[in-house]
Amino acid sequence: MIYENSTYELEEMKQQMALLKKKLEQQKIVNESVLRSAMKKKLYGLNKRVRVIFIVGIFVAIWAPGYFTVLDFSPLFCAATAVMLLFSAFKTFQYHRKLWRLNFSQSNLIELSEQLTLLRKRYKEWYKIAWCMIIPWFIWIIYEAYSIYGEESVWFLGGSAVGVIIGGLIGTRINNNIIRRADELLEQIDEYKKMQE
Amino acid sequence: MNPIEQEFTKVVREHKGTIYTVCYMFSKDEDEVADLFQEILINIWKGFEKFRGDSSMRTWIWRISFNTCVSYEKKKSRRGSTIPLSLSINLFDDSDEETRQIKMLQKRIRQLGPFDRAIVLLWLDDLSYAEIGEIVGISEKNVSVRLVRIREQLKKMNNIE
Repeated sequence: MIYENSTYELEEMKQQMALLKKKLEQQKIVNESVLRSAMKKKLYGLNKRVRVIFIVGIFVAIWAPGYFTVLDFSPLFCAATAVMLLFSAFKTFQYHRKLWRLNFSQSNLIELSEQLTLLRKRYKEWYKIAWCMIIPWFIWIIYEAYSIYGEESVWFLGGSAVGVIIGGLIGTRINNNIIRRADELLEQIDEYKKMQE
Repeated sequence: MNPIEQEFTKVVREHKGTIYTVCYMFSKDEDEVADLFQEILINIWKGFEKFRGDSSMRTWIWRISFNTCVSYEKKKSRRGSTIPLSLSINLFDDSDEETRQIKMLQKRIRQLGPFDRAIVLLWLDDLSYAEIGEIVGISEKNVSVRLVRIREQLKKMNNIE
């Protein structure tokens, strides 16, 4: 067969092939810029959404106290509502500030994963903070509405309850979405690190 | 990553040498190797879930790699922009003795037609005549005949040099 009658050329090619295989074993597959491009797109989507939430939060923080003032709610309640909303907007800004500043083309992946891990942890903690604010605030709104409108406040409170539930569901979904995106990005970084080992 | 993705990553890691060998032998520069490699990965991924194990994974990877490379030229003009996978070693520019030897191999193989290129690469990878025949779609006997002709062709090239 061909192997027994191999010429010098084929033998030489076999040796050269062995050299090629040896070199190619060192070959890394993942391109870091591919990873960064994918991450940049994911994070751009995440940051864009958060900027919208922040702007809407500021707008509501200005509009809501005015609305409650028109309804004759106490100035203290209106101020507390404004503070609560501004606090939420400020916290959103604070959580994302460092991520917004990171240059995804140049930041090292360790710094990125640290920021994502911190973001994830903060958003998980935010559930507790949010409910600790919303529950007392809603109890307060019941008290205020009943003080002003008596029995008729039930319609207002019914509508408010629906609003709080819808708002809570939307907020929970946004929160979970941000945590999920952070998890996906962290998983990509981990996979890349494993391939480098 | 889901189990299919994990399995795919594992298969690519195990067979990356094979895939790169084919890319290298069918390319003229580093960018083309990266492009071809990416195309082959895409094609492997597309067929991965449907792979029924009728042949060995190695045979299947070889077949997809060759088919992708041979049809690459036709697709080049229609292909949109991609982010090429970069290579951490450059077999086109290095000047050490090993790379010089590899370049000699590439030069010889590239002088063969695509079909003969496939056959000789498979033979150099120590596949049996039966396996070679299965991948390129000819009988064992034809593989043997083809290899004899390739040997003669290489001898002539060597004499010309």
